[in-house]
Amino acid sequence: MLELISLYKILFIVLAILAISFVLGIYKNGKISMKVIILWIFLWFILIIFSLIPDLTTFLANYLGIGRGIDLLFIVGILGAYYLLFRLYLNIENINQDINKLVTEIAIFNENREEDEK
Amino acid sequence: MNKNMFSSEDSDDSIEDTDGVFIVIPAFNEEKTVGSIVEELVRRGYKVALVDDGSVDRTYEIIKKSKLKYPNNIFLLKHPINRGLGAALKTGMTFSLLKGAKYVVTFDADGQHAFEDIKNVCIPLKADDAQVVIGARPFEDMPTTKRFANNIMNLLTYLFYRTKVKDSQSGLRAFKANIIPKFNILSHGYGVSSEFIKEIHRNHLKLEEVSIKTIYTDETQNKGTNIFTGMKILFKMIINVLK
Repeated sequence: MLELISLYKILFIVLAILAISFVLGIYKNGKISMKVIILWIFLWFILIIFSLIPDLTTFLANYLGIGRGIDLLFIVGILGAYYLLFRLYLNIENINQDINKLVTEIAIFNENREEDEK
Repeated sequence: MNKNMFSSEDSDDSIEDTDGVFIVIPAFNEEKTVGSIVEELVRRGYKVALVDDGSVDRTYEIIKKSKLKYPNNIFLLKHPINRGLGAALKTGMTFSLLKGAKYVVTFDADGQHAFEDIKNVCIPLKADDAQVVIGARPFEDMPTTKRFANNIMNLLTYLFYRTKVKDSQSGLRAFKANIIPKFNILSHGYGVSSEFIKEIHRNHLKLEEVSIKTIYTDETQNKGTNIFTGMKILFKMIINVLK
């Protein structure tokens, strides 16, 4: 049992470190903003802390009145994922609006240019 | 004054004042009907702003040809990519304003509207009885599934935007030009019809509904409000409330 626990601890920590270095790599290429980077690194650090001290989740869960630590992680995880989905939806919607504006501009510009050429 | 001299159908048309009336036609793959509709509108004395919403058929070429015949009355706005009904209407209406339109009428490209109804939806605007007019299609004439979908859309429009209308999804609408900048239209697709109602409500605009004819052909059957577009519009409405 002990071996199993340490195995998942190691797995999670390796995964978190890989993820952080991956995100840092993207940041170096200038493809995402500082704000997003800090959020991601913060999230992965929390995961590292929880893997090192699993009892912490149980403690927090009890404090909040949720039975098990793992349940707390699930709830937070699912809510977080939904929030991210919603943010993504809004972002895409904004991009769509921007594309519409551009397409309208292009259409009007081209028609006016043809009128001028006449 | 640009009095209409070419009218052939009923004598009432010949005295219609078409000065400053711009017809905005959103068209996406409408090569079968669009040419004859645009040319007939021009013959009746209207200015036409046709928005080709990224069609992949011959819509653009056909109107280009018509434009050679009537260079001063047809405006051809081409969306390089398909952006949906809402975006196309926005382009056409914005353009009409730039060209000094006094009244803007939206008209479907599939041939489902009768030309005489343009005059009918403009009457309340010209008489200052309304700022926006929606041409309400008689639901009795619709095929059952369409009628059902349109009834649901009216109900949803009422639930979300607190405005009761006879036909929330009609494509024939008339606006006074000065109120158009007040509209904040965000929908890309068919949701735009309900969004107009929402904006009319939000800006406290005077709305009138005028009964219009609907001509049902095979083309007009395939597009427009069915259950699926209805579901999509509902989803968008919910998201817009949450936003």
